Amino acid sequence: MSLNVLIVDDCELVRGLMVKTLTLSKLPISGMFEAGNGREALTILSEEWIDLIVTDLNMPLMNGVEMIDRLHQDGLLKTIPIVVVSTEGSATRIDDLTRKGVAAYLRKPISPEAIRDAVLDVVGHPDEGDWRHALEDAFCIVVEGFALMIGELDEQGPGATPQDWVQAKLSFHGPSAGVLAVAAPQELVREMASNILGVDSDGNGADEAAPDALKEFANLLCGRIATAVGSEEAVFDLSVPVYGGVDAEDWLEQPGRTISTFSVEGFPLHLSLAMRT
Amino acid sequence: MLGAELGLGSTQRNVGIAEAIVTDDADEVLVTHALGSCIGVALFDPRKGVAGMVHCMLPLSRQNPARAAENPYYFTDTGVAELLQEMFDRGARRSRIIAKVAGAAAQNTDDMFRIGQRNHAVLRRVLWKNDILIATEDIGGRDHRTLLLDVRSGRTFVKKNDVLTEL
Repeated sequence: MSLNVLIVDDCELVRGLMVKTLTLSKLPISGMFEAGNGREALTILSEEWIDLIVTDLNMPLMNGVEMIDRLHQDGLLKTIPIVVVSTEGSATRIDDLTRKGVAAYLRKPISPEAIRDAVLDVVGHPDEGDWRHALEDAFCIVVEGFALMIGELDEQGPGATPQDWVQAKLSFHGPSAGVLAVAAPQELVREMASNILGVDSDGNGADEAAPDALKEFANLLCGRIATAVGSEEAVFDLSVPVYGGVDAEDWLEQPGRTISTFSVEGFPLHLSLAMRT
Repeated sequence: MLGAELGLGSTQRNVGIAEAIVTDDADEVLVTHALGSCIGVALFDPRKGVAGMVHCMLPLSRQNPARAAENPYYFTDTGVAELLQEMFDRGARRSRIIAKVAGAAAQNTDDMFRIGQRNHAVLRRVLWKNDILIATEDIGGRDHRTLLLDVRSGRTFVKKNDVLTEL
């Protein structure tokens, strides 16, 4: 479950503030769209699926009230939750907007924390339960079926990160798009390669095959996950995986991604997923 | 000892007025008393188990740069920035830090100086520039507060009018 958010404000500075606030709110955001007035917002709404609108009221060309009126008349669009952030404080105006389905009304100036709290109240606090379950299923199928190893989701999350980590990364495009990366200690990848080849892990073949093993592992996982987040019928194109060494600590800190940690026969393995639109 | 009944760490370390402590000793509980218009900030990085607390008195170091140079914790701008730097030096990362805040009460009835609110505004500025949102806070009003942070669990508590509540 991830959200496409539309921010509507004629002031670029305020939109920047909103983008930073929502990014820091740790919401599962897949796309952030910006509009400078109601008219621009309606154009975006006609092209993109939006899960949440955060809007100002006083804007040129088409103001927020007019935009909300238009949305209110549309059977589908009126179901999108709207958070109004405005300088205006008239009780009549607030009552009117609440009747038209505005989920929260915040008066400027407002702290980022108050925006975060209001948005979390409206869209619900992130529950990654179902999504994690699908991810774990995909992971188990690939780790058991391809690498012939036993793995499970590590609820503790990332622990200590010893040296010599490698990653394989690829992107997928279809009804949804994103980038998937798998990072693991070199030793685990060598172990996987030896299992896939059916040779001893201390033999030469395993070392040479390690990059291909991780790339193929990422490729198979990506194929599984893309259909899990999209649908069985959806068609996805996967890019060629790229392999390389990484600093595990830095790797874990890159923003904008969901990271899941797995335990594979005593080794940690991290999987990151960044969805984009 | 405060917090013993909650199963918190066994060693209480007091953060005095215009002082800060950063620690990764899981047996410790950081405590700061007598937060009036002063601001108390509890920071915690759950992955590294690094905890920090500061008790700042006045908003801006510009008021007295000499004093700020001598003790940055006296002021909210320099004090919180210094605390964050010490957290980073111990391996904490911005993206993981959980910030909880107490204090910023209105001290005078005429409230001429609005010190509490100003401390809070400056604190928000420093955290916002460091990409940190305040997770929870208990601020304003007239009551004095005590702020506690359990280093093992990261649980944070506020004591106000002899009532202890989790932040």
